[in-house]
Amino acid sequence: MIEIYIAILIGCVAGIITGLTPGVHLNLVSVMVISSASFLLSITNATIISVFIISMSILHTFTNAIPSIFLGAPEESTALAVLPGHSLLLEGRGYEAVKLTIIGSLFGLITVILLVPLLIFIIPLIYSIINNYIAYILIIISLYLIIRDEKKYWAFVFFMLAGVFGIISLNLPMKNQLFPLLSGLFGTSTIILSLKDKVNIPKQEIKSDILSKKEIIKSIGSGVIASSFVGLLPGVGSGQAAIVASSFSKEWSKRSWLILIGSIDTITMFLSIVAYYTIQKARNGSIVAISKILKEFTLNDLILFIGVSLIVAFLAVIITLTIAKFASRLMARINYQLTCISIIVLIIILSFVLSGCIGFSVLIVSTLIGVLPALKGVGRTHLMGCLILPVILFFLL
Amino acid sequence: MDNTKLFNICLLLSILGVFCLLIFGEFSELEETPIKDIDYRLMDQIVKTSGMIDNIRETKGLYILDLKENSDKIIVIIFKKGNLTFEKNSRISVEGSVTEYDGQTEIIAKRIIK
Repeated sequence: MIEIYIAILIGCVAGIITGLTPGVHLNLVSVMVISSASFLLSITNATIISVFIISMSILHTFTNAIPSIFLGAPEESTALAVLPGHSLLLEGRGYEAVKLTIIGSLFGLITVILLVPLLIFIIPLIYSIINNYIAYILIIISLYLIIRDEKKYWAFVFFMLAGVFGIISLNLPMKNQLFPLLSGLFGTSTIILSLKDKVNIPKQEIKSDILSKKEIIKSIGSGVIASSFVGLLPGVGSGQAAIVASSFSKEWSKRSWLILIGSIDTITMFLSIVAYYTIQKARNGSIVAISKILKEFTLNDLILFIGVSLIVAFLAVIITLTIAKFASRLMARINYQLTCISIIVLIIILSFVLSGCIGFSVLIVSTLIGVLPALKGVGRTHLMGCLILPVILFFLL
Repeated sequence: MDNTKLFNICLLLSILGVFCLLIFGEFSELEETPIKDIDYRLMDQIVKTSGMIDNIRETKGLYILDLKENSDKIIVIIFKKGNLTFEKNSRISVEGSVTEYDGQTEIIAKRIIK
């Protein structure tokens, strides 16, 4: 029993590192675990290693909001949190932005855990039905979001431009294709515009407004439905699930949007565990690692992983809020213009290290595309076309 | 600089950038990865590999090839479009993304070079 708690704690440390370091993906640690599986299995058993992976993966979905909000360096799952997060940061509420994503992650996880008995029966059904229609669902939702925008023409142009660029980038011979693509579209472009407008980060307040229960329920509900229906399909992830969820309501406040994004990331991760139990399909690197180590995935394992997820969620709230508090205090003490330039340099270096010269070229072009919607006053959500159009074409062609 | 001018410059440069990367992508060659080195560690990455066709299965929408190099094998999934024909024991090069299905590593082919 004590081994399980040790695995949870080590998993949490690994989750903090992967969540806070831009470009360090969960898959990297999962690969390291599988590579050293024979050694690890000589000192412990497969279940304990799996507990480590689950702990790391769940904690990662809480802490990865911090670099997105404070640094503007997102992953696929947190790309849409950059803009509202940055906007709250400029109001002195960076801590609150992180807290909102945590509310989403925590309540999303609890809700989906309560739904597990139902999901065990529903997931195979959803999988078999929706799989054939995902392209049409994404087309309808993308069109709906474009039509809903006041500047429809430009919304369509930006969706297609990002989409075509997404297709090109995802087919370029480079590793970690998503890092330069998403960092440019949502990260460096936001920071450059902040630099251009000479904004300053005000003193950060460690407080948050009380949200109405209705707003929380709307965000969590949308997150649960979108993640359950599309988050587990092949080629589709939390980014696409967020776009589907955004079509559920006409108006999203910055706060409810951040709850939604936080919830989708954690729910999708947790549902991948349930999906592996029900349809035996590994939907991300963490589950692939578990599938390599665990010979059989039983109901007992599922129950253990649910318990582990709940313990980790509790720890994740404390850890993430503590780090966010520290980051908020740090932001107030440093020169924002200098910080922005340092972050851009960091993202450029990471693009070089992770994806080489081609990654750097992708970062430049995606940054140029990323500033366009803001300059035209169009929603930046349409830039998710970079992930949606390739999926639509994958299913249609 | 006002926003309209900046927007026009960014739009022009981004279209130019997209075009340049498209051309680059068309002419760039992937480094070849031997079949034995393709596993879950390369999941979701685009790879290029080559080998002999050891077995061909055909479903309504797919060709499923077993590609072999020495004693190493990998499954290649090809979505049917146009007139594609494959012959057993012929040599092909495949470019595609690495994926996992039922615990086995596979390549979803994007380009086949015979």
